[in-house]
Amino acid sequence: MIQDKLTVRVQRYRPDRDEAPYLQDFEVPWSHDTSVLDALNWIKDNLDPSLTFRWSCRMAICGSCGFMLNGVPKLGCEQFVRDYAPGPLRIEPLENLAVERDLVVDLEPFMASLKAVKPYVITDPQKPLSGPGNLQTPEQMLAYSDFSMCINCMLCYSACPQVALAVDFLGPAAITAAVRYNHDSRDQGEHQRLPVLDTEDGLWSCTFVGECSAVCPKGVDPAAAIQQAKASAALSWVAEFALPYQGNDR
Amino acid sequence: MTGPGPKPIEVVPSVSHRRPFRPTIKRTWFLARPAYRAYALREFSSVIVGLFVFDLIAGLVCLHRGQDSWRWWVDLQTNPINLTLTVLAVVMSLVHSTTWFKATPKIIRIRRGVHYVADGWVVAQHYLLLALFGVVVYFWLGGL
Repeated sequence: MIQDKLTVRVQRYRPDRDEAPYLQDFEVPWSHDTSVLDALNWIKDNLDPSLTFRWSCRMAICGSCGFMLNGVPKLGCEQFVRDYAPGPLRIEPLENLAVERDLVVDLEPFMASLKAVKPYVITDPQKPLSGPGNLQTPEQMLAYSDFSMCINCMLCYSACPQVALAVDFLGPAAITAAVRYNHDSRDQGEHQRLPVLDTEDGLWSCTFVGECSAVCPKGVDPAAAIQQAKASAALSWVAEFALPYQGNDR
Repeated sequence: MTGPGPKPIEVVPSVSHRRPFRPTIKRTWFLARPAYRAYALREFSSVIVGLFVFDLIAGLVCLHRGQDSWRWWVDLQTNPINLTLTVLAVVMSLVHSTTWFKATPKIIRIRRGVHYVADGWVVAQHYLLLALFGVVVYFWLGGL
């Protein structure tokens, strides 16, 4: 049942026409179950087909529809228009990221960061393939399961001031992915990830603002992952002096 | 079959209008959100605590230089500016320690079976350790 209309103020930017982004108002009908993503799709279907934004699953799994809603990074599919009544609802692209068009941001720097930390299980090449397999106990799974919930929606990048201040910072989600695999009992890739993490643009750019964890829609705690990785990196640094073979296997 | 045949498709080279807009960050970014303001306060608290430590080091230097110098430093402590610094240092020490204690469960994860020890317990252990340390220092100084 359509209840009312609400002003949705969307940031527009068409690189072929606009010098800089600007806000455009749309009057959108809404009911109790209208999500913010529904509202954007209604604008695209009924008012302006040129409005550009990413979306896919509509159920907080794909991580595509992250926007700034009244200045706070959120998933459009997960938020209801009713919570922003009587409006206006301001929808802008995720902060701290370059805007390609309207609400679409440039994902390439994030994809490069993610690739750099090798976010996959790296096994010891000496391990025989005919072994018993990679069984895990519930305790071993607990060590990384929280961090494995990340959907790469980049809300944490938008919440982190260091992403804007330190341009080459790996960022919360990429570091969390690295920690997720470092904590996995099946993985032996920690030594390969450490040179990427233990750098000025890696862990040490994080100043522990903590807002990355507050905005995460999946309850992942990137701030915790990064601080744990800092402790690990510091111990590795100590091990270089204190242990034979610099703490590595012979 | 004869004839001119289908007209070849004209290939028009595509033109990219890509021009990513990079927003600039304001110098006052740390005032933009409540969490940023809390972060800025936590960071700033270390500056005040640092100034107080500087005052204490100056006291030690004065003590080393002799009686006159020491009296000058003791008199300086009653100066309104110094008193304000001392009160601020107490407040900022509380801000600094409580916010850091609150953050400790993010780093210290203690697993018991298939669950982690609750965050509140980890924080409580820090306050307990601080209290024990306080008692030890109190008796070390001869109970004042």
